Amino acid sequence: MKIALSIAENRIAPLFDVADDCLLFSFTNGELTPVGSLNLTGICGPVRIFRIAETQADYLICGAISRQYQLMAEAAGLVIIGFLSGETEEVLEAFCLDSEPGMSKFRMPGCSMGRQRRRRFGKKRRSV
Amino acid sequence: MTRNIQKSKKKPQCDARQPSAFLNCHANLTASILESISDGVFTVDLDWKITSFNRAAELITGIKRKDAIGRRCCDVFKSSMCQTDCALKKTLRNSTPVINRSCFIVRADGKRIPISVSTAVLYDESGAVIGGAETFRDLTEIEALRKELDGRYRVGDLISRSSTMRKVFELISAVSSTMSTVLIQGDTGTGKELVARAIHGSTDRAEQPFIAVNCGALPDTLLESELFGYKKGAFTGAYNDKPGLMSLARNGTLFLDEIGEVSPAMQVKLLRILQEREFQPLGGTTQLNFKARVIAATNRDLVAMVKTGAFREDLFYRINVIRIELPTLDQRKEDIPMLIEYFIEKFNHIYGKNLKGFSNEALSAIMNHNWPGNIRELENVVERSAILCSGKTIGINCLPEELFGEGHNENSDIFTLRGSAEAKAIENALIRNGFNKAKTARELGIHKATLYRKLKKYAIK
Repeated sequence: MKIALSIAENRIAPLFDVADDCLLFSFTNGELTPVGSLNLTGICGPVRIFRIAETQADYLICGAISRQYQLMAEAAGLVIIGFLSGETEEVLEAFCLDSEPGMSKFRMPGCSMGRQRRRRFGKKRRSV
Repeated sequence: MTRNIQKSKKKPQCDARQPSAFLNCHANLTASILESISDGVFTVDLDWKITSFNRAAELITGIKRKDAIGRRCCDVFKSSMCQTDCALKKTLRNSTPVINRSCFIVRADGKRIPISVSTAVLYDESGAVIGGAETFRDLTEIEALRKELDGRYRVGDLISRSSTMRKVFELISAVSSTMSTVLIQGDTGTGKELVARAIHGSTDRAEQPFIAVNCGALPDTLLESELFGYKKGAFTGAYNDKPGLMSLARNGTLFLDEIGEVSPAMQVKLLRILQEREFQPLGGTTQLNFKARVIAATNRDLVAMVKTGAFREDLFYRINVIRIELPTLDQRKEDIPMLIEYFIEKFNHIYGKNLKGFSNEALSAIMNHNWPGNIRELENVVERSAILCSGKTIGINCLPEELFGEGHNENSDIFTLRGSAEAKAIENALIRNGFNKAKTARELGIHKATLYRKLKKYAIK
């Protein structure tokens, strides 16, 4: 599976809507490999989501994300793990361990685990 | 002694002779004031960790104080300027406050809240910088009130005082409660997309996506893949699945601009989708539901195109459920001063200027021009002038040459120019109203007697 992370200076970008960069990782047989990056500077609206969907990412890990982008990303088949904050590596590590308690420490204040995240942790994750 | 203590408990007072008591008292007073104001206030230390968070900040952000204290401000605040244009960072770097900078924050429910932000540096008693303070104001209510006050003149981002546009506004509010397909007709630059966005924004689907696609700018094959999306391997270069704009629009609005430019083959496909409310991605095998509302727009005369066979009659009737025709700027010249004001405000913000407006001479030239490029042309002229102007009032020397084309009289004074613009507006209104003077006066918003007086003054027959 492929993971896209919206980042700013080695941390999860606080707001996906205006974030400039995205890192892409592949997670196969328990191994995490960086597979590229995306520059989203100045890109807004559906094209922002297109760019990520084109990379065949399954998950989008990001900070705060507005409702419009959430809806578009879901329509493009992305699972959003949103409203997270913290160092990129630590968040990725917790995500790959697939533990809800591990991820919940990265929640932004006042933001509970969303619908998508509960669903993800409720299922056995695909491993390609 | 006991009585004195009891008294002081009832009514605490600052004792200037005891510095610690005095400071404590003032700290309490400051905290009480911060709690009572309606602006959100938070302070940060030099590591960007929140050190205080007032009650209004809790209300606006939806985050409790206990959750916010000790966290990085950008993780709590989540504003559009946190990453690249942090006002607090600038203030701490330059020791200069930022006043009323507009941006938005995103709450935990995904809702965008428009706010204005001001910042200041915090010093300790010795004058050393210990952090920063940010105050922010929720503009949602102000925006709503402004819209209510301007309601007569404003729908979404459309502004107008003209009676022709008032009809458009009425249509927009009438169609907003329905899911009908809307056709917007108007010359280039008249604001067709703004009308579509205003319709979308006034429906209960405003939170859903608004997807605009320019049908005239893309060849058939590209338009098809953009609209319907494609599956991996559908054609050479389709290495991955790509969702179409129809999928991304979900339950929102799909705006098909320049629909008159669509080829006959594509017209058939669009007709089928509008009828069946289903579409199939290129290379796909299953039909997907299409739930969005369709708003189409064109600057072409579709009725004439139907007659010549260039546009399918059945598609025309399918999209022409409700038709909104937009007047040209020449037909609503009374809006020009208001539009200029709006654009100056916009470009003042973009270019950091403090322009007050145009000089009388420049305004006359603007009013005298016939604006073939409509509002877009006017916006470009205001932007150009805003860039070139070095003072506070934009003079005639900042206007482009094309504004002084045919009919320009170097000796025209403001009264002559205003008179000729007024005469032209009256003539146009008379033609529109079939030379019915009562209707014309009503449309122009003047009394019938005034109209007769002006007809005599300008010798209009």
